Amino acid sequence: MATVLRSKIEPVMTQTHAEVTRDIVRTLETPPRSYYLAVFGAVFLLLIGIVTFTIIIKDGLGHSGYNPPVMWSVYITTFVFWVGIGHAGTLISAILFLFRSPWRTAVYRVTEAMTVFAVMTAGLFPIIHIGRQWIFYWLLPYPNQRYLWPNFKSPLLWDVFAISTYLTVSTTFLIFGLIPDVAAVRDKVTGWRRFIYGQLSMGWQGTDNQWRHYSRAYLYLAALATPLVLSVHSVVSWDFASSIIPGWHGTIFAPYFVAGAIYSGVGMVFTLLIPLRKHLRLEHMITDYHFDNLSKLTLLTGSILFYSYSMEYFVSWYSGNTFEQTTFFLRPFGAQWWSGWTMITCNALVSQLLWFRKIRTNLTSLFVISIFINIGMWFERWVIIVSSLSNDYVPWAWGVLNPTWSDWGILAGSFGWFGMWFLLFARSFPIVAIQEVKEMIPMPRLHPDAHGGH
Amino acid sequence: MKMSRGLLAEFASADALVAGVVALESHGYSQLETYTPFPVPGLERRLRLGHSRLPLLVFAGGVIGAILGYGIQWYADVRAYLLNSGGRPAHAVPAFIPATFEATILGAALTGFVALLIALRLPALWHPVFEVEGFESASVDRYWLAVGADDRLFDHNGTRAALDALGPLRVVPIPEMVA
Amino acid sequence: MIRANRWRPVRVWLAIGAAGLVLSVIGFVTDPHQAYASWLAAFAAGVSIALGALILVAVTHLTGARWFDPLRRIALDIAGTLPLFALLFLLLLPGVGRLYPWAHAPNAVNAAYLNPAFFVIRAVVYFAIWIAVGLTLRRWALARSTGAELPPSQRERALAAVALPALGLTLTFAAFDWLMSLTPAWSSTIFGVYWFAGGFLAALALVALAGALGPMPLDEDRGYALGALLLTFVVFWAYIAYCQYLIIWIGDVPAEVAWYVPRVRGSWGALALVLLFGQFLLPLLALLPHAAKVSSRMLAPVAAWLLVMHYLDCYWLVLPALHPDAVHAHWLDLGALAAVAGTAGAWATWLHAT
Repeated sequence: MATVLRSKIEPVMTQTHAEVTRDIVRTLETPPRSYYLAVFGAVFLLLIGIVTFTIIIKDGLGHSGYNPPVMWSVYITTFVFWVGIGHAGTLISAILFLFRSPWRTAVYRVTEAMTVFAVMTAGLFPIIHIGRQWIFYWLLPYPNQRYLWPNFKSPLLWDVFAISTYLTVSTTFLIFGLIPDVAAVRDKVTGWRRFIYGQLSMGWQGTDNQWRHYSRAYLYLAALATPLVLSVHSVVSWDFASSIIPGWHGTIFAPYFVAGAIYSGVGMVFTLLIPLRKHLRLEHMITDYHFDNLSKLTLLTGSILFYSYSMEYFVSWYSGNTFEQTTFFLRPFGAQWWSGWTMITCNALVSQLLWFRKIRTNLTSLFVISIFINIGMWFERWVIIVSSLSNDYVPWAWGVLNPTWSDWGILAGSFGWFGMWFLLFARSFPIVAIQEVKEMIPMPRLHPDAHGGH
Repeated sequence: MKMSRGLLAEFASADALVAGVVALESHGYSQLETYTPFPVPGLERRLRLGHSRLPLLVFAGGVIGAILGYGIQWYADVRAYLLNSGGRPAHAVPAFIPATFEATILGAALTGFVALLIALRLPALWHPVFEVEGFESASVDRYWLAVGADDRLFDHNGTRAALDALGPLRVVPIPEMVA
Repeated sequence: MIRANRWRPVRVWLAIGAAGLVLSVIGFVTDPHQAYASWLAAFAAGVSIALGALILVAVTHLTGARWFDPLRRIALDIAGTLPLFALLFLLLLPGVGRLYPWAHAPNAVNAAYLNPAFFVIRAVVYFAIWIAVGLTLRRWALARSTGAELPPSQRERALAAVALPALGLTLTFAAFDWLMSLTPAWSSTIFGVYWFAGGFLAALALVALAGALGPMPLDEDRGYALGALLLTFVVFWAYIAYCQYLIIWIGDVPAEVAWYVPRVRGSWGALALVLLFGQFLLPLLALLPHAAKVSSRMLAPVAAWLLVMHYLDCYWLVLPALHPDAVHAHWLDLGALAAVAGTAGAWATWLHAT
């Protein structure tokens, strides 16, 4: 056993293998009315987004609140927000797998699905944000009759590569982890559902040769996903940092954004998991133990954010650079002071509550904190993007941005799009990794003392 | 009864399965296959499976991805379309690293996934063992051991007796492919 | 029972350290600019390793890494050299005026922070925190252990949790004070993380090296865990170095590139390439195969190599401030390195033997 994250609250593994399969396959049965209501709500939000987007395509981006000097606002903020959400999923499914942390097992499928859908959502935003959405494919490097090639010195183009790679690899990872579990579902259901799950399981048999290659490949995918997750949010951060806008041009941006991404993602995991485990009756599988550990992860990343904020403020003063100093002064004390304080309070300060075990294991407090995290992290990106652009080098050109109905419509639509996919997934695929949970259950032994050391 | 493709024995525990594999291998059987709900530690070595070529393939995929990724950027920005971007050099090595890195990961991950499917012989939408009544338990909490009819030592009655001696829940023939 | 051969390594280290000290003291008198710069490079490399070891102990306390239990004593002994580094830092103080331009610029924009008095006060605070945490963790660990194999107690875990933020902040500001302020007009928010990444990597390497050469060679699990961590932090160091370089290179603002210009040109540029290959690409390739991670015989040379690279990294951070035109290798570099490594080695082996 390598690094094992331990906790006082150990998981209770009293279930048998058959019970694990039964309880998880049960989540795929005909859902209650509340589920349909939730899906309907998500689709409704999505429709708002679709209508808004249609109007934007028809009329152009003038509807959005863009106003010089602020030409990046809610769409880019929300783009970074959703990419960030995805990162916690990869962290939990890949990095904690490499560290062999036992508590990831019960929650990683939820977070991995969250990753894929969050990145699917994020990927729409650069397309929404560009003026002529129908030629977004000009971003791709391919020989064309225009004799034009994209500029690889621009971080916006690195984004194209980073986001598309991230979506591909995390989808592969999700599908890959699902194969044996879908096979387990296949063996439990009947009729047309058996046929569908049978096709989706690709005919998995669970032979020793399959398991051997599977475990190996899983390890490699995890090892590849780990640097990938670092690189993706780093590239996103460089969208800002590689310019020389005061407030954007910070060398710490890449690790700072990665930590923030994981912080926001774990926040979203709480928001999704706390209601979901009740709805799917999985309270005995996803326990205080998991929430306690997720909270510690939140505390760690929240503290790194605290550190990064402190570095930004200190170095802006230390550097003696007037423009940096002005930008960082205006964040908490300028026209949009409320957004600056929302960012500092919800991220740097609220996360510090998690030092207390009482709070870490109280689901109500965690849920409330998770809402603060979601709001705080959206505002962090908002503050970084909008406040920095508002106060550029020339005070004459300063300006404030006010979001419009089209900004909010697209934001609502993004939650609808994400929510719809996530809800559909949660009821169609095993949301807890059946095979890995079984691996953690001590096996019934033929010889009670034949306990192999591993 | 038609010719079978071999015999399947169902065990209640992983230890019984491992013990069965050890016993049959000591008899000289070589065409053994196990079906388990999760990887059972120790089986890999017992079944004398060879080394995996996966790591080399993944590494090669990454290298190819890196070369292609860097190559496209170099071709686009140095050869095909020179663009003065704030006076930075056309061959801007630091700026080419992020996309090269993403291409490396993409190449390695996709190679790994495809190589894995080939190694696992998936998708295989039908397999003889699926015809066996009750084989569904192999993905729940039962451990199955198959002896292939192509084994040198395979003899329907003799092998059946050898399997019975291992204390399985039951022994069943694997049906021949239905025409 | 004290046997003679237990003390032999202490004496060998002490001899190296004494020779280095003599050379350095001669240097402080005859060629103070060079001597203090050489001293700072060796000191920065050494103290970052001791701090890295302390952070490694605290982190493994919190994550409950059982594989680390047999190695914890080594890491605690390395962290136990922090009082020595406080002494070595005293030798640096007479050189502050020669090393740091801000010592003579009372009207600079950040003079409220960068001035000799506050510089010393801060260093006292840093060392007080480091020594208190390091010695307490070590004392508590030794108090409970008959062997070192026991997992940490509740109070150790609590102290580790509380200490980590303090260690992170003090390490950062120490990096700003001692290294970044060599160029007072230059600043980089990631600089503290950069120094941490290098020091933590070197601390891991030193633990791996001491573990591999120790009486109980690394078993497969411990070797793999160490090898994987080394690989991770080789990549992490390169990532942080690239983050800083990319942002400053692509922004191309004169005040920011001023720090890089001497460091990436001419022979300093060659040294930067040595670091790129030696502290990133070569160890990355060496540590990738599974076989390299699980065998002590493979890990030990890689770890030793990484220690050399960490010293060169700190050399590359410090010495261009004195010789911006080109690398001027000097016998005082070796003297300072021998003094720091020798005394720290003696201190750590002495702690290990008692």
